[in-house]
Order: sequence, then structure tokens, then C-alpha cells
Amino acid sequence: MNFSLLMILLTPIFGGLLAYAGSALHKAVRNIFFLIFLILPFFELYQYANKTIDNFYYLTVLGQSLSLGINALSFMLSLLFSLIFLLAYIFLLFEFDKSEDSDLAILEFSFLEGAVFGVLFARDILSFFIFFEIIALIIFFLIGKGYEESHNAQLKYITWALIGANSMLAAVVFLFFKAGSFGYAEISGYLSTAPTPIVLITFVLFVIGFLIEASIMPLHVWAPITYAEAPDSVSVLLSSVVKKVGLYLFTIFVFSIFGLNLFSKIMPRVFEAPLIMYVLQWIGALTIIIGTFVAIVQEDAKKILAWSSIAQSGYILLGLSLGTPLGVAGGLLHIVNHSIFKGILFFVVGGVIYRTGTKNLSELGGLIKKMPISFISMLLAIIATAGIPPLNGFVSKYLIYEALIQNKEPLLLTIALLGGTGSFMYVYRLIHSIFLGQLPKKYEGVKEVPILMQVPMLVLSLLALLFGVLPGIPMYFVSKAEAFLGFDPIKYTLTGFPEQPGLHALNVPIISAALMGGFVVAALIFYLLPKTRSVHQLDNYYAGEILTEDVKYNYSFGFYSFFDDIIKPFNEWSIDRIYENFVGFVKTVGDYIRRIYTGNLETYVSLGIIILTIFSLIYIIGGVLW
Amino acid sequence: MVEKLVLILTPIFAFFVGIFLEGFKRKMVARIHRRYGPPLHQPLLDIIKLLSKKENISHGVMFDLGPVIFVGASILTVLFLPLPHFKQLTPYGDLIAFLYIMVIGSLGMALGAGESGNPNASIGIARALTLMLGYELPLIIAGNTLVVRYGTTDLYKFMTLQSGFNWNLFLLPLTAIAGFIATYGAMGEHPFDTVVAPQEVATGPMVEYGGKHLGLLMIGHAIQVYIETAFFTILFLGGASNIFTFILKQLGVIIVMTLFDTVFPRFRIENAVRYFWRWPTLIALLGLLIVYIGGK
Amino acid sequence: MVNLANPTLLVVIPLFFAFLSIIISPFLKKLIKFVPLIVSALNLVVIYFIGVKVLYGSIVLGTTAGLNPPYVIILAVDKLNFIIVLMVNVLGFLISFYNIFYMKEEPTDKFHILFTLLIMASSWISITGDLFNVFVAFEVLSLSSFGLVGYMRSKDSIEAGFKYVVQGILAGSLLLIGVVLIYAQTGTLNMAHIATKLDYVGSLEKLVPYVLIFFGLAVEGALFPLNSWLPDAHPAAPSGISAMLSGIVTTTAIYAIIRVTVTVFNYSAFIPYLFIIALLTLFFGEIAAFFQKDLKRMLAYSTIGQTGLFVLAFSVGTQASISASVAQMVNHSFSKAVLFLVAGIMIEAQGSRNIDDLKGFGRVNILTSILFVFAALSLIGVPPFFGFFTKLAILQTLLDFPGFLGYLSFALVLFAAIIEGVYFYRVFKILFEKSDKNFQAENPWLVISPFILVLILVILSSRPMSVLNFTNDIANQLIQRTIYLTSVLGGLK
Repeated sequence: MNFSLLMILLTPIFGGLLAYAGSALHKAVRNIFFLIFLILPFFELYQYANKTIDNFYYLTVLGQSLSLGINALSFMLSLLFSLIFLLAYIFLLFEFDKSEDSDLAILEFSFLEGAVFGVLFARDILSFFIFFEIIALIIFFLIGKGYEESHNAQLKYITWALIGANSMLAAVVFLFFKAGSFGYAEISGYLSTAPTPIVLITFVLFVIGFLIEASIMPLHVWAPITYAEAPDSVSVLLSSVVKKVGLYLFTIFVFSIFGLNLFSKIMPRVFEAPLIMYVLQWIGALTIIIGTFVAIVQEDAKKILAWSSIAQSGYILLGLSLGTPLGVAGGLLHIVNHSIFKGILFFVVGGVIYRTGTKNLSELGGLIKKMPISFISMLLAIIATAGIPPLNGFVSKYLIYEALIQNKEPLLLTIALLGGTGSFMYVYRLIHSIFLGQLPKKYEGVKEVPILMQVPMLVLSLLALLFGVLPGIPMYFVSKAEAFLGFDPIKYTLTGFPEQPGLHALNVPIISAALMGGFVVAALIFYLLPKTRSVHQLDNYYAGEILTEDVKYNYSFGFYSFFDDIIKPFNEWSIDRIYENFVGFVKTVGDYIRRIYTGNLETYVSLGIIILTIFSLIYIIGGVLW
Repeated sequence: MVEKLVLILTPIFAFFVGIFLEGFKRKMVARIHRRYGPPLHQPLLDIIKLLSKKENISHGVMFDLGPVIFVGASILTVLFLPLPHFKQLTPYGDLIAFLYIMVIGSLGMALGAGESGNPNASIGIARALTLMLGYELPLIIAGNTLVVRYGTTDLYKFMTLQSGFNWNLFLLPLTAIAGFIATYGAMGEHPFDTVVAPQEVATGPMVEYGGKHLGLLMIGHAIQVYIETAFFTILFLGGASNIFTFILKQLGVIIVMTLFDTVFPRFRIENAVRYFWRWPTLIALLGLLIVYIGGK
Repeated sequence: MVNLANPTLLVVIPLFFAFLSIIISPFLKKLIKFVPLIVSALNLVVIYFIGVKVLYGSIVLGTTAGLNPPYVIILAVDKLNFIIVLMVNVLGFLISFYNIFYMKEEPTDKFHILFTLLIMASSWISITGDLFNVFVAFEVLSLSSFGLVGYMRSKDSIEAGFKYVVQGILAGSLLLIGVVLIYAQTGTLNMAHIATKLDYVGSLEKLVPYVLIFFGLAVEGALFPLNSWLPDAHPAAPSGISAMLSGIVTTTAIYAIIRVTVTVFNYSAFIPYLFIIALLTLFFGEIAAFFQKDLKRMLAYSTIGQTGLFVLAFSVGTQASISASVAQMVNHSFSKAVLFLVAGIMIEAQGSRNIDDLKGFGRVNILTSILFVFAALSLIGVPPFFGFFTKLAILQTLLDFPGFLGYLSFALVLFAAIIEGVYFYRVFKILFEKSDKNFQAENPWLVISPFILVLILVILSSRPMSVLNFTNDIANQLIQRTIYLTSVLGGLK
């Protein structure tokens, strides 16, 4: 069979419509219909492996043909996103099983997948913009099906999305006006000879749009509340797909359309990178550190994940904007890895909410005995998040650190590493407050999530482990994508990286084997010794006091309150507050402007009469005034 | 072949060196206190006693696994430290990887302690992680300074490049001081012992552990003492050309640390972090600046 | 065989029916409500026959007496006229269908008669070739819409109607003085004839009447600063009338401005000023809309903003810009009509115009809400809706405007788009918010008209380029004014 790209794009949409129609019959019909259409893209994508297609025309706008295409980078991401969509869909079925919104959610879901494919396949600045806007629109509606505060989140999200969209639209129209074409290749050709201000302005306008979607500081304001309040399956999509779409576009535009050579030509180089890339590196680094520090002091499980997601996109931006083969490989690999492990975290937290009904960390605790599978998934995910070997987060962060060392940027490296340490704090907070410690009495009856709901987390956990131990698998795709972007791909083996300039050799299976060896030795010591006796959780040392079931003694509220004290001076100038002040100012001004329409007839009439008089006077006086 | 044999024996070696260093420290503290003090092998006796206890209580699977992971990961970490003439596993992971490997043990320990459900344990871990954020900053900067200076991240090369008396302690005194303070903080000695703080949180993470669990933790701790001192030795004291010099240098580190340990009271956790972020960081940055400007 | 392709019919049919219904209304009160429907249906038939000719490039003329132009009242339909009159009658048809079910309080006969007159006047303005006719038609239009705005006889509708009357009269007098001055200078009222004679008139003598006519039309066209009647009148009027005022009356007034500016005065000197006025209209309209809590008032201010947008596009003065402007006019008329009609349904269901009271409406009446969302998305210009392509075209032409002002307007249009997006999305949010409020179910008859309009928008969205190509033809024909002049002046010889 031969599938065109347009077909891949339309497959989920078609499936969604069919499922929506099927929902009139029975829920099962709907579910199965849609499931089939979510699996289909894998088969359709299969034939595009190792292929680069550039011109598949599907529409003509303003005399220009819009085209689709696929390359190594978009192939890798479309494969990844198809998987995450599929898993998120399975999760969504359970999450919405009692809600009346489920049919609509599925429909929107399908359109979202189509639009995401659209952005990935777009080969001109108009198509990508159109699909990008559709994504924002659908996300807006999907968010609204979430928690209590989700409606505020909707508004915040769409305000920023609109700012981003219009900023990009400005660049799109401007470039079309100048270059006379929408195609990536033509735009790239035009830019190579364009005057410097045009290059800079359009680049900044585009990047604002991308970075808003990627929730990079200081354009992240919408993200925490949106991630936290959206339905859990949508949070997965936001963090693992939509954010990555923004970063994908960033990659394409920086390396493929604008190109590093262009930047090197028009601006000085700092630390082996063009100035604007250097600025972006710092933006990425600040995102890491601020995102991490704020995540540490959150009290809401999904807020922690949201801020963590912000911080992790800082890593990706930092890696990508280094602009070296090593850095870009790290950034791209982290796109893949972050999608996977943040997906697990959102799935697990979603499962916990599904069973307990709360995402407030101080109300949870001790669920390890009730939900062991979720615990293991989350354990793997937090190890990956913290960047500890042998999980997948380690490899990509490692590449980014090495790239920073190669570029001789100790300050950025310090920030990035410190962010890594900070991430231990919040991931531990997360797993501790949910799974460890005292089990509240009301959750005695909690069960593990249904088996189908475990599938998403388990699949991703396995992937995280696999990609961690054998980094060669994702590197296969990443190095191809890198070659597409015009870099010399870094050398890799199935097990890690051989010694090469700027990169110390790394072999993850050996680390894992040594770790396993250590475990075996320790476990032997442990289990050969006399057996242990399990005691009740209340059988604790508590300075002589006797604990009872109804007393809540778990240490989970204000876990890092002392850390809060340390960073308090910085809280004073939070970015949110700057925006709030700005919005307040704009609103005041706007309110005064609005009062031009006084609603008072006398004002209006006198205005009209004044105009009439002036012109009569001019006429009567004749040419005297002239 | 010899290398593999050494690799397998290293953890045992590290364990005994750690025991020796601990014992030495206890003796030294006693002497400063004008006591006679326990024998040098007292930590070993403690461990044997704990491991042979018949009554072991458990709060769950993770509670049991905590000490196991701690010891297992400590063994792993040891393997990534080079010894004189032996690269060990350093060809497969460098300084950056080492930094991350080092935390696996703490993570396991934290998970185990967390499952006990004792608030003291949780508070202890919260403090430990916060303190980590504190001392990592000067440590990372100091490490970066070395990386910038030598242009490599290979721990074995650090060792060989400092051979003779090209110790970083002499060449980069500022960096070495910052590195020392950071390592000292990582050891959790006074005044940075807020994590265990017996009077406040009843030994923190260890509060619920007893019997063979505690025995394992002490094994792990002995190895950790070896790791911290060896790490500092490799980075700043020029490593060593033979194993005895190596141990001697570690002993020197322990002696200096113990001197500080015995005279200081305890910081509150906020103040500890603030301290780390202020003086050692400034010193480390100064050191970095010197290296950066003064030619690589 | 009667020649159906006669523009005169477009005025005569409604007028005839209006008078007829006045006569028969005492006897057949119940039937009067079908009159506007029949009228606009008949008009559409005529427009079809005219359209066939117009689309082949000819200009269809109609005269009222046997004399030759220019000494006769003449009705001329070129492509621009055609699309405007088509919109007038399509919207008139659908809105009158909506009105049949919307207006419940009997007797409604006067309402429908006034509505017929409104259709008549709007059609008349859109096809007339005579400057004085413009004035007369506007008077008829104003009179009928005064009556319709105040038709509900509630306190605020009477107040709004009064404000409208005062300003409408002001506008009428400005327009009249302008026409009189023109007549004094050229001795003719035929647009084409004036255009040929104006070449010999001094610049100041040209400027003053132009400005007067412009401001006269600007009152109806909702241009800043003369649009202050609109935010009161639109919300107070019955929803069908709001839709008509917003979708048609404003559009015809802007059409008249375009016609007068391009064809009659061929005036480029005033364009920078028009540009600034449009910019201010856009800016203040959108800002004011952002702060509204009343749904219909918000839509009314949004109309002001949109008017600013397409006048802005027009005032760049190139062929592409006029094309974009007309396309946006089409988009605005249809989508704003839907919004007002749907707003009417919503207000009826909940009994209040406050946006916040709509919480959860979309969960009960899903079809209505989806219509609202579609129309609003097209209005904001979210791809892949038709509005996006018109916005794209507008933005592109704005860069043609020389100098700094072009870039400024470019940025400001995008800024306005953000504001507009935010307040419409806010309504979406409220519509689909969870709430336990009970709403009346939607009246299916009322939904038909907006549904058809949305269907039209969807069809336009699927073929945006055909529409833009057509508007490009329109602009081309408009810019080559000699064709219009010669065919009007020599067409009937």
C-alpha cells in the first residue's frame, strides 16, 4: 500500500469523526474505531523510514502551493508522538469514563493528532502556521475539561497562544511579502541574502511563538496552571507532544531555514556560537534553574510536574542552541527522552488522582502498598528525570553537559548541573509524598489502577529503561535527524558513545552491569542474614509517644519549607508578578480608553457639530487657510 | 586479567580503607576529647554485631531495598574511581557520569527511609537533599575549573596530569579550598550535620533502621567515606603513584576534616545552604576566573 | 418576457410589497411576517439574473425614466455592487426567516414592514449610481432602523433609538450639505457624471464636500469618532435587527464610502487620514469590546473594530488591498450576523445579556454554541476558517502602505487580533464551563438561519482562494474607473 502524507494526517481525524459517529451506537464501538485509527499511522509511517520527501502539494493559497514533506527529524517525532497519542488515548478512556465530555474529547483528540502531524509534515511557513493554530484551538477546548481551575487556565493559555500565533503570523506575512513564497526552501534562500534587521526581527518573532509553546522562561506563565488543571491525558499531550512541536519548529527554523551560517555572518560569535544563540543558551539555562527551584516548593503533584517540564525544556533549548553536533544531539535526544519519562510521570499521577481523587500532595501518602506497579513506573521515571544512570534521562543530559564542556562554558554548565541536583529534590518530594510514608486511613481501600491503564505507564517505562541502557536505539534516529539538519552526526554505538573529540566515552550497559553486580552483592548479604519481620506502619520511633490511626503524622506539607526561606528574596521579583503588574497597567489604560464611548448623547452630538462647524468655516473662509 | 581482578577486589579494599579511616577518626576525636577511645577496628565490630542480630523489623519492601541499593550503588561508585595504575571503569564514564552515579546510593537510601513513615526520617532526607543543593554548587564550580584547566573530564587523566608535585592544591589553591569545603559538607560533618542531627531528628534517615539494615548502611557508609576522600585526593591532591601514598593522602584529608569536625557546632539547614552559596561559591568562582583568564 | 436582469426591480419589489403590506395589514396581520422573506427571495431571483451578466464583466444598468444618462436616476450594478447587494439579500432572507420565529409579541406587522424597508434601502444604496439617491436611501434606511431599534419599547431601546436618531439626522445633514455642494459645483447628481466633471474642480472645492459626505456616511459606517450610537443601538435592538445593522447597514455605508472615494472623487489625498481614522476605529473598538460584560455590546464594539479593519485595508489604496477589504467585509457580514443571531437565542434562553450568566450554556445547547464558536473563529481569523485567509491578505497589503505607518498598522492589527481572540475565547470558555444551571432548550427554527450562514462560511473556508480571486476581480474593476464611467454614461444610448 502506498500512503500519502496527507492520508497520514487525515487518518486520525477520520477516525475521530467515525468514532464520534460510532458513539451514538455504543461506547465500545467508538473506542475500538478510534483505537484502530490511532494504530494505523504507525503502518502508514513505516514506508517513510529513511526517506526525505519535500514537495507534496495539497493546497494553493495566494498563488502559492502549500506542500507537505517528511524528513528524518519529523519521521522520528511523528513516530514518537503517534505512540504517545495512542497511550494517552487509552488513558483518556478511563479518565473520562464517567464524564459526559468523552465523545467530544475524543473528537478533539483526533483533530489534535492530525494537526500535530500537519506541523511535522509542513514544508512551508503557512501550513505550519495553520496547523499550529489548530493545535492551540483544540488544546484550548481540551483544557476546559479538566479540574476546577481549568477555566482560568484556558484563558491564560489562549492569551499566550494568541500572542505567539500573532507574533508568528507577523513573521509569516512579512517573509511572504519579501520573499514572495511560503516554501521553506525559498524562504531560506531569501534569508541568506536578506538585510540583517529583517533576519533578526523575523527570527525573534518566530522564536517567540515557538518558545511560548515550549514554555520557556519568560514566556512560560501559562504553563504551570495549564499543565496542572488540564485533564491528565491532556497534560501528557501538552508536555510530551505540544511542547515538543514548538521545539521541533525551533530546531527546523534555527538550523534548516535560518541556518547557523547566516547568524555567524551577521553577528559576532560568543563562545563559539552566534550571539543570538548565546542569548538563547542563557535563556535555556535560566529556565532550567528557575523552573527547578520553583518546582521544589510546589504542593500540588501536577504543578511539580509542570514546573519540572518547564525546567526540562530549558535543557532542550540549551542543548539545541549550542549549535554543535554534540549539543544538538543532546537536545534532540532529550526531546525524545523527556517525552517518555514526563509521560510516565503524568500517567502515574493521573492514575493516582483517578483512584484517590486528589492531587494535593499533603493529602496523599503510603500508596506503595496499594499501587506497586504505579510506584515502580514512577520510580523509573523519577530516576530518568533526575538524570541518573541507567535510565534514559541520563544519556541526553550527559550529552548536553559534554557539549557545554566542549564549548568551554563553565557557568552554563554549573547552572545545568545544579538544575540536575535540584531535580532530585522535587522528584523525591513527588514520590515520597504520594507513595511513601503514612497511608491515610481513607485510602485503605484504594486499589491499583486497571490493567489497561497500567499499559501506558508500563510501555513508556520499558522504553525509558531500554533507551537508557541502550542509547544507541534512539541515537539511530537522532543521528539521522542531525544529518538532515546539516551536522556531522556524532559517533555512537548501541551501548553508548565511543571516545571522540569533545566527548568522553560512555558505556551505559557496563554501568548497569556494575550496578547490578553491586546490588547482587548487597542483596546476598541482606537476604542471607536472618529474616525480617514486618510491622505495622504505626510501629515507629516517635520519642516515646504512642501513635494512633487518626493522627496525621506524615511529613509531607511544606516539605522544603526551609528551602522556600532560602529563595524567598528571589520570589519578590517573580516573572508572574511582572506580567500581572503589566496587565493591570494595560487594563487601567484600556479602561480609560474605553471611556471614549461615554454613552452620553450630548458629547456625541457636540462632536458632530464641531466637525460640521469646522468644515463649514473652512468652506466659508475659502482658501484663506491654505 | 589483573585489572579485572583488581576491579572485583576494589569494593572490599574500599570497605576496609573506609573502616580504617572511620576508626582512625573515632580514635582521633577521642584523643581530642582527652579520652582513650575505641580500638581502630571498632566500626568493623559494630557492623558484625548489627549484621548478626536475630530481630530485624521491616516497614515494607522499599524499606528493605533502601540499604541494599545504598550498598550496591556505593560499590558501583567505587568502581568508577581510578586507583594508582588502574583505570578501573573510568574509560566507560567520566566526571559527569561519576557525579550522577554517586547519587544513586543516596536515592535508594532516601526511598528506604521514606517508606518507614517516620517524620524524622523524612525531615532528615529533606534536609539532606537541600544540603546537597548547597554543597553541589561550589563542588560543581570547582570541578568545572579543573575541566577547563585540563580540557578533559577523565578522572584517570586528572590523576596522571598532576603527577610529581603538580597538585591542584598548590596550583589552584582557591579551587582546592572550595572543593574541600564542599566535600566536607558532603561528608555531613559538623557544622553541616543537620541531616542526622541526633538531638533534632533522632539521626534522621536512619531513625527506623536497626539490625542488619543498619549494618548494611554502615557498610555503605564506610565505602562512602572512602569515596569522598578518594575523590578529593584524585581531584586536588594529585592522586598517587602507589596505593599506600593514596591511603596516606586520604588519611590526611580525614585528619583535617576531623579537626574541623570536633570544634564546630551545627548550622541550621537554611544557614548551611546560604553559607555554601556564599563563601565557598565565591572562592570557587574566583578560582575559575583565575584559570579562565590565566590561560588554560 | 420581462427583462429580469433589471436593477430597478431590486428597489421596486420591496417598495411595492412594503406599501402593499401596509394596505393589507389590517386584514391579514398574520401574513405580514412573511413579506420580508418573499421580498428578499424575489430579489435574490433578480440578483441571479443580474449576476449572470455581471460575472461576465458587463455593468448592468437600470433607469427610472426614459431619458438618457446622465439626466436620469440610474442604477448600476458592477461586481462590487453585485456582491454587496447579494449579501444584503442573502442576509435579509435568512434574518427575516429568523425574525418570523424570534418576534413573538403580536402585532408584529409594523416590524416586518420596517424590515422590508430596511432591505429595500440597503439594496438601493448598494446599487444606486446617483449621489442624491445615496442620501435618500440613507434617510430611508435610517428611518426604518430607528424604528426597528426602538421597537422593543423598553427603556434602553428607546434611549438607544433616540441617540441613533439624533446622530442619524446629523449624518443626514452632513451628507445632504455635501451633496448640495457637489451639485452646486458640477450641476449633476449622477456619480459617473460628477466624476468626469470633478477633474475641472479645485482641490479645496473637492475636499470639503468629500469630507462632509465622508463623515455623513461614517456615522452609519461606524467609523471613529462618529460611531457612538452603535454600541447602544445594537444591543438594544432585537437580535435579528442587530445582525442586520451589523452585517448589512455598516457594510453598505462602507461600500458607499468606497464608491464615493474611488469612483466619484478618485481621491488619494485623503487616504492617509482615512488610514488613521480606520486605525483608531480598530483600536478603540477592540479595546472597548474587551471590557464588555454584555454579550451583544461586546459584539457591537467588535463590529466597530472589524469595520476599522476593512476600512484600514481599503485605505491602503491598492488593488490587492481593496480586494482584501471586500473579502473581509464578506467574512465579517456573515460571521457577525451569525454571532448576533446566536446571541439572540442565548439571551432568550437565559433571560440576560450578561456573558457570565451563560455559564454552561454550551453543555445544554451544543449546536447553538458550536455555531457561535465557528462564526467567532472565522471572525477572529483562526485557520483554517475563511477569516484567516482574509486576515492574511489584509496583513499582506498593509505592508504596502508606505513608511512607518504601514508597519505600525501591521503591528496594531495583530495586537487587535490578540485582544479580539482573547475576548471571544473568553466567551467560549464560559459557554462550555461546568455549571448546574438550567437553560431552556434552543428553538430549532431559530437555529436554521445561523446554521445556513455557518454552512456558507464553511463553504467559503473550503475555497478561500476562489473568493479572494473574485474580490480581486472586483477590485480590478473598481480601480479601472473609466470602464464604470463610460459604461454608465454611454451604456443606454
